[in-house]
Amino acid sequence: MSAITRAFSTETIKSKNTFALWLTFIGAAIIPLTLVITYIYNWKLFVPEPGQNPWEEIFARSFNGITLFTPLFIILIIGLLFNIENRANAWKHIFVLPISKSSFYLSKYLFLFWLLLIYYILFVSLTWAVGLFLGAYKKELNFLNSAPEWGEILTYLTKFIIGTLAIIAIHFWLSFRIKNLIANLGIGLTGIAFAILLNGKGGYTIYFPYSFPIKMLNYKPNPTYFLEDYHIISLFYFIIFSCLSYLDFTKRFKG
Amino acid sequence: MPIIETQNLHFGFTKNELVLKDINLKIEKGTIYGFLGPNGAGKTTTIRLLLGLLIPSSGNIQLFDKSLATDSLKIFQNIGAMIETPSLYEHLTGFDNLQITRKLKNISNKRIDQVLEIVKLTDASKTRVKAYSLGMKQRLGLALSLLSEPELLILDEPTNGLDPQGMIETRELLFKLNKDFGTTILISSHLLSEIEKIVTHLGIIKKGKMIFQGTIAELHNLQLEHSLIQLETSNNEKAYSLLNNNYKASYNNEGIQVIFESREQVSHICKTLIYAGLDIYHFNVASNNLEDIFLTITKN
Repeated sequence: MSAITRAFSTETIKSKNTFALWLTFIGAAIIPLTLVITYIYNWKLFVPEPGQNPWEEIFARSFNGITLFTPLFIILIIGLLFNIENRANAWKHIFVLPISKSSFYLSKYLFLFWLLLIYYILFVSLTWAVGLFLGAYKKELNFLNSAPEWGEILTYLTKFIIGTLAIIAIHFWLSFRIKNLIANLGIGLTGIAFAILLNGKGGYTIYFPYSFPIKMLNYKPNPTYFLEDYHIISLFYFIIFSCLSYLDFTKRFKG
Repeated sequence: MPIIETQNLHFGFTKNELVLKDINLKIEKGTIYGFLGPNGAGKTTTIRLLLGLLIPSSGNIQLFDKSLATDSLKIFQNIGAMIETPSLYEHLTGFDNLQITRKLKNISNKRIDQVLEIVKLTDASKTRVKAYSLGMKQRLGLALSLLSEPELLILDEPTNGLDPQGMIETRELLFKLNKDFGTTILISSHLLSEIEKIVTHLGIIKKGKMIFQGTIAELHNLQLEHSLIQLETSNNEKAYSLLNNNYKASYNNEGIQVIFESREQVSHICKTLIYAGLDIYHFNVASNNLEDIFLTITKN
């Protein structure tokens, strides 16, 4: 087993009984469950026009929900992952084990993406399950006679994930440098609040990482380009901040 | 070949203020090296430097004849370490904590049962660590450092917070590891009495400087140098001239100080004064034990 694989498997042990793990499941379920309540109480509003696919509406609403919720979830989950080490005062133990800092850094990053993957898969699966349930509950909603546009869903998610990469890289760095979880959350919340206040719009918001996911509210794909400007900037930030935090972690960070 | 060797090690948290000055440690294979000093003397900082958790301002660190700066991963294969309080994931069981370190060190699964047996935590291995007592946590920390059957154990104040029974058990365990497996042990403490029964060598640090390094026997010699009698007689001048022929004596307003090397000499000094017809008003035998020596040399 390679050092990264071994380190990754220890991350799964460390996440046992933690809020980070529960948050992944609960976070993925929040929006779909909210939709159940919304649809049940106002089902007449959601009866589709003839020829209209009801899955488009439910997924659009669901995506708008995670657009606002996911940045906060990401900031919290990264903070919690590093808080496991900080609370155990574990750096002084980990850094004297015969495993390179690079392996440890990469395994932590991989584990974060693993949790995010679980989150997105659960989120999409639950939204789908909610649609099926609503279809069985009220035939008029017509969920059972149509199918989701999986291609569009995958495209949206890919773009959304790219839009969140900048926040991931920045908070991954902040979370091992700033040991106080509340301080990390404070920085993140301030960023998200600014982004929401600006509604993700305005000349400079394409450079403001917290606004990238917000820009995907009521997203209409650009017919010319697959990625918007802010997606490319998010990718750029991700690469730059990941490289810088990697160098900081492996060369300077002593726990 | 020394297992740990430092040469002219200097360290400061800022450029202008050095907290460690010219530390030259030499720890031979198979020894139990007690690293002593008052709180804040620089013990933990030195240990952190030895483990690469801090970077020295200048000087060299070699472990197993390899440079720490270039061969740290190879070096860490052979080291078990516990710095101050053990690093434990309290939301996990003792077994899970060991499992994490076992996987990272890439060692056999059965070793977990062995170390649990050694530190007598087998029954509590499935209990979450947050329910452990301080002593149990300390023992689990020790188990973590023993997982890879290390050639070198570095323990920073491992008996901190333990009750007397726990201290004795830890001492016995370390002694056994050294005797049965030849494990070299560096153990720091601020109390000589805590470790003097098991250590073979001692290093004493004060305000960032090594002020003694040697064997216990060498410290005993230092003890003899520091054993003296303070006395006052009816004629101090005469008493001084009588004693100065055979002993190292000094004479001032407060009386006479005579350095002695054995109990027989104390008796001889006493008889000499009485047979000379001198009245003895004050006769104080200040025979320092190792703890007194430690306190004396760290105070002065």
